[in-house]
Amino acid sequence: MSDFPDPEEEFELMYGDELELMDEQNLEDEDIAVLPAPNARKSLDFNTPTKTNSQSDENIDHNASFVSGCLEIDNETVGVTTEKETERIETTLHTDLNDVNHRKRTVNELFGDVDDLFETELDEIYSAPKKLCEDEKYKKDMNLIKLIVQKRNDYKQTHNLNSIGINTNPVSRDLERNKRNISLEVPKYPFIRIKNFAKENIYIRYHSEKYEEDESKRIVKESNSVGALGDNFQKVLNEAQEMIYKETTEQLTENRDIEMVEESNKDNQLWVELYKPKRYLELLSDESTNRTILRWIKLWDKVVFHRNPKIKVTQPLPSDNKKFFKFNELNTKLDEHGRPEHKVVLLCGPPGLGKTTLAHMVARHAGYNVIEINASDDRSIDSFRTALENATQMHSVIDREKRPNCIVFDEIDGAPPPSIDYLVKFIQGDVKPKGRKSKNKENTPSILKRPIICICNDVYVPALRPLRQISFVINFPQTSSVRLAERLVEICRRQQIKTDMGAMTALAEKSNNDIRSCLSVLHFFKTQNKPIGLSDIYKTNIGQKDMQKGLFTIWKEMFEIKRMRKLTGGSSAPAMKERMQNILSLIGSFGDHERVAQGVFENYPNLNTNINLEDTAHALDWFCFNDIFNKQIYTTQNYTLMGYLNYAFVVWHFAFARFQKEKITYPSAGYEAKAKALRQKAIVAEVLRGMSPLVRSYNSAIPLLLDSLPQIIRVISPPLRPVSLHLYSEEEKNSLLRVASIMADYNLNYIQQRKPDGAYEYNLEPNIEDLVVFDISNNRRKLPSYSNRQLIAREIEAEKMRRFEAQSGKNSVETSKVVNKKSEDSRQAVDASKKPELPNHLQRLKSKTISQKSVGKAAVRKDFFGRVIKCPAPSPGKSAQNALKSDIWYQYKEGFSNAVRKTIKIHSLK
Amino acid sequence: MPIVIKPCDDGLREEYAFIELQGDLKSHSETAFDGKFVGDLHFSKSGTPLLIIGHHLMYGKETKLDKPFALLEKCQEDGNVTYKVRCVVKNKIIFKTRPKPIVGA
Repeated sequence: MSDFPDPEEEFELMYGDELELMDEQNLEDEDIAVLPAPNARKSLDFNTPTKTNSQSDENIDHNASFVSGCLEIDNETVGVTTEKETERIETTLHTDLNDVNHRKRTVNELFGDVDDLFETELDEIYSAPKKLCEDEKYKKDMNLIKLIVQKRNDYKQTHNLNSIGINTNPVSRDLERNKRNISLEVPKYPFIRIKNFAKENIYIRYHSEKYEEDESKRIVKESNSVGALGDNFQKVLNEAQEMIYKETTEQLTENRDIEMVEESNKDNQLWVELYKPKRYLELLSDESTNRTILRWIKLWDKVVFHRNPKIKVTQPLPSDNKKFFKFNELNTKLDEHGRPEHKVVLLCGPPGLGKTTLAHMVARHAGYNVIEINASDDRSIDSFRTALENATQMHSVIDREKRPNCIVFDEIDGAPPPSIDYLVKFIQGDVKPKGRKSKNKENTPSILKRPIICICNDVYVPALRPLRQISFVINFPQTSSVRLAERLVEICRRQQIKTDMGAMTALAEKSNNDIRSCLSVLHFFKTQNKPIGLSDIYKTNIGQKDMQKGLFTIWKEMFEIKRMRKLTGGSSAPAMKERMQNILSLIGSFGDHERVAQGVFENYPNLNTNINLEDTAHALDWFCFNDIFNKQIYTTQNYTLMGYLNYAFVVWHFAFARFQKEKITYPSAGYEAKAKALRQKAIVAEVLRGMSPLVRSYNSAIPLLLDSLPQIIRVISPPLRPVSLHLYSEEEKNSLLRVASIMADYNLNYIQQRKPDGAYEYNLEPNIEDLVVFDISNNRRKLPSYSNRQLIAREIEAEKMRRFEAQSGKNSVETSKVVNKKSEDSRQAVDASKKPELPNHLQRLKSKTISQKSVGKAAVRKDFFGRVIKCPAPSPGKSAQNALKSDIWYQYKEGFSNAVRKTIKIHSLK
Repeated sequence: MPIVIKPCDDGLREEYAFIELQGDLKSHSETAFDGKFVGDLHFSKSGTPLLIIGHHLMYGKETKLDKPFALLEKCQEDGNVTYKVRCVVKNKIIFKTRPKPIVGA
């Protein structure tokens, strides 16, 4: 019986979730809930218990019906029902419990603090049929009861607090809760015992997980926390939603406007196309540039149109005599084929100045048919080849005017390098014609007979280098803002936009004289049908094409405040907000934050203006901030922090920027320091590696660097006279020896090195001078002189030799001792030990003596069972051994014995 | 002064031979060789002489001396010095090959 969960428990298990859910619902709905009048509740109560009472006889049935009841209630609407629900649940639970327990305990005992609300139900419960009670179940039941009582309390509390609006003080509420959950005596509820700081036992109520969850949810709900943002979350959310709503509605209205406008606007042509210069004279670009290109293209007339160019070819220009060489000067000479010296023109400059327009216009003006190849075309070698061949060798058939072709390579800086190489070869006439044509024209290589114009933004792209060398490079100057503004006003007049010259000038300046973007902005304003003022221009975001600023430009902007030109003629500093936005956008569009920050860091101390200390300190704080963030970003790959980096630049700008122009240098200290640190670390490692193990065992890298080496460098440079070793006093000799021994210990030495000027000097190796001698400390003159270094170096070598010898001598003595010990019993060995160790060259090979003992030992043999096999020692063997043991031995002499013969008189033998 | 050389009384019974070694005889104790055992001389079945000194084994060959030597014994009798010929050495055994070591087992 006890193995199975009680019906009550089962119920709890099964429907705990629902209970919770209902509680939650109750809480959520509390705001909207219509407060039920007490009498109404009672009436409801009367309704429901009838149902439960009827079914409380059988627990299982009851449970089932409860579920259905829940479901039914779920479908009903809001507050009243939910309340009814929970109450009903509680009553039902109540009944069950009471079935079990009512005999032993009075209702008051059980539910002492529980309300009068349920009195009616309790009365009914008393009348409910009773079930058996079992003692084993008693404890479990008690727990359950407590849980329920507590739940009920909670319910009551939240209910009272939130729906009726009698807001009890949260502190008192907390106290009350504490009373329920914490006690100093052993409580009746399940608990965990802990000790407080006074070592008293405290019993803390052990709650079920569900309860905890409930509780935490309730706390979150109740706590009207003021968040980090300073506003209530709900409030912020509401505001945000309002904003979104507003925006969407505005957009809708705007969209409607635009649609209407577009319908009215009949020609859908872009203004850039519409107001394209139709004639050469309409060109906006710099007049001299236009003229130069036109003159160049006219030089082709001789080859292309077979007529002499109108420009005087040999024109002794007075400008030739000028001292400076003007790059833009066009060489008007023609080569042997009648072509101009430069076969190709390279136009370069920032976008939107009208380079392409100019190229087209000039070519058409000179009577050519323009063939444009730009970035949108295929620019592989093959397509280049076909395009070039087609354009230069064929007449255009379709064009009825039969104009010759002029090729315009637009955006050539994006073309692949091989294609550009091919183009260069083609221009130089090095290209061998391919295919069948090669057979016909083998002897005459095709020469370029048509002008080629190349256009690029950045002339210093590596791929363009070969082309740049052979071409006539024209740097496209900026269109003057005044001219552009005039044109814009003209366009506005035609489009019937109300505006003024000032606004147009501002627009031109803002767009960096980019005609294309100016026109698109105007077009956009046109759709709004509003007069354009200066403020409108400042507000707009101009889409800029290919805008990227160099590092130095950014640094310049960091350190300089741009003066804003006023309409009245004066200039004023831009507002802080504008400056901030300018810097933010500048830094945001540039990727390499670190480099920029380094540049700022290294350049600010060299500024001409004086910055007050407070600003500097503030800025330095932000450098720290920047550093910390960078570290965080790069160590944890947390790139969300990236967004905060930009603000440091704003602070720096505010701290350092002045109206003066500053000379800015490229930051190198960071890199140098890094390189130096690497070098120094390597030196320390080298010192550590070279040390003798005895010294090494007392050294580690950091203490060595910080403590030992600075002292060692002093220790090893004692005051020694720069004289010969023989003239040294005893004391000096001792100090020299000491230096040598220390340096040998640390594996330091002086090494002769040749200086760039040819002189020699002795440097420490590893060069710890680099590590510990600083320029400022002026230690240099205390270091030993050249001759002393030489002396020390020699002494170190000698010291090393001595050590090595001592080491090897010790070794040999030790080994000989070992040998002696081993062969103590043998007579010869004793002799050997008596004799002093012979030097190597005097030693002779000696016959090995066989010790009898070892032979005898080896002879003891055992059979499989471990018994000693007695093998009779062979007597002949013994005699042989005796023979072998003889004192006399024979030393063979190689060679011929009859080499020298000498007569010996008999008397000499006497 | 006449030197009297006369044959030994009991005739030339013993046969002597030289032993010629290409090398030195040495003593471990570096004492004189007097009365010391030097080595064994054997003859194989084919007649080649074998000499064992210490742990060296040598193979030699017997050759006839170009000039025979006489082994004399000095006898002093009353101031008269006479020499007795003990024997005439006609052969020598020469060991000039590199000795082979005998490895003790």
